[in-house]
Amino acid sequence: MGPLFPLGTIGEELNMLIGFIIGIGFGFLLEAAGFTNTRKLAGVFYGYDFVVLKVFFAAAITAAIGLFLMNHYGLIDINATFYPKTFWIPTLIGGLIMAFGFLIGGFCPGTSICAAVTGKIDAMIFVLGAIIGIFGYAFTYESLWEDLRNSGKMGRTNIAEWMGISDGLFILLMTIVAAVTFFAVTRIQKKVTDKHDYQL
Amino acid sequence: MKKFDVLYVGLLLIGAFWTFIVNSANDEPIDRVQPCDLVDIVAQTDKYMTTDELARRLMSDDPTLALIDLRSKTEFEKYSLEGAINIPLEDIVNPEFKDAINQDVLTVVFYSNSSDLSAKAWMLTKRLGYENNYILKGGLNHWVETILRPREPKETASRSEFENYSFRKAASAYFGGGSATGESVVTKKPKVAIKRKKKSAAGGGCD
Repeated sequence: MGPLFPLGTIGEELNMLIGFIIGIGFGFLLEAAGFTNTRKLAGVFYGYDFVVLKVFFAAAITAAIGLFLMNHYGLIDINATFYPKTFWIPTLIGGLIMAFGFLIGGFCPGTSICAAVTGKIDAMIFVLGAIIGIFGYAFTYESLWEDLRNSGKMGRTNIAEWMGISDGLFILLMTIVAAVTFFAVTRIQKKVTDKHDYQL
Repeated sequence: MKKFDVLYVGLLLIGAFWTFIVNSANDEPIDRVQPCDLVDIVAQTDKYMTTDELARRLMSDDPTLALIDLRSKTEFEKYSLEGAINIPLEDIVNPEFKDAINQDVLTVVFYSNSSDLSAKAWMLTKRLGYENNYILKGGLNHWVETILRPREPKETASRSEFENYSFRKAASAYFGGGSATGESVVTKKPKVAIKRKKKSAAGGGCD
């Protein structure tokens, strides 16, 4: 049955339209949940607000469970979905850069655009910086980055396969880790906010 | 934590246990033919194609016919039916040949020297849920006996048997039967198995 676009159930136009609607919903909810506030994201690093961590963790696990079950019951073909190859070294470096970007700028790529649209000047500058970064990378790719980009190649793999356990077991373990993390960060948050008076 | 958070974490845990249980309980896709249905399928009698029927369809250049030769490559090169594709039995479930075997447009006929290999191939593909597959009854041995070197029926035989015999004689001439080598006179290039194009995954990415 699915995925709808790669299997040709829906055409390019409808695909774009659905993406557009989901995108609007996503942006609307980011704004409604206060994610366009830089203090919300930076709060993860200072320990006074862990909502972002909870949301991302919960979203990843919801998606994993949903995809697994839909694949199992024949609603989608997981092999036809986009599945990037893993290059662990550039991923690690990129992840570190992104974390610093989160911490320094207070935005992630998605929330920066939302915040720019709501008129925040720092978000507009953040988006501009991201665009400069994208073009800078693209134009210097062959001379500077190509070797790094292709290092640590692992092919199309997923972590459960790599660890030698089943997908279901991995999802279960991850969910337990998430549940424990949720309770732990709630405690940390309470301690930190009791000690300091952070204002969102 | 708020009530909603606890509720959501609880839901996630239930979902995770669910995935774990279905993952460890059953790795087989659910659309496979189940054993109880398989018993009925095995009892089917329309899984055979007779050599006469095959000869008739080959002589009329039936474009919907796809012959699969299950023997080894050397045997296939020595002698094969016209237009046959060589897929040794070991490769029958090889995804590379899936397109040649799993389809609903062509009538796929498996053959080997006797019916043994074809019966195995038919069973394997049936188990995978493929349709439109048939076994050449008696295999190539029966093909030689009935089509290439037909025996004249007794004088007391029925009219239909004689008609059958005259058809077989004509077929024998068409397929070059009776020649010492047993090689087909009508030599057409053997078809090459269509290779399945790998379905490319969707491109793109996200942040």
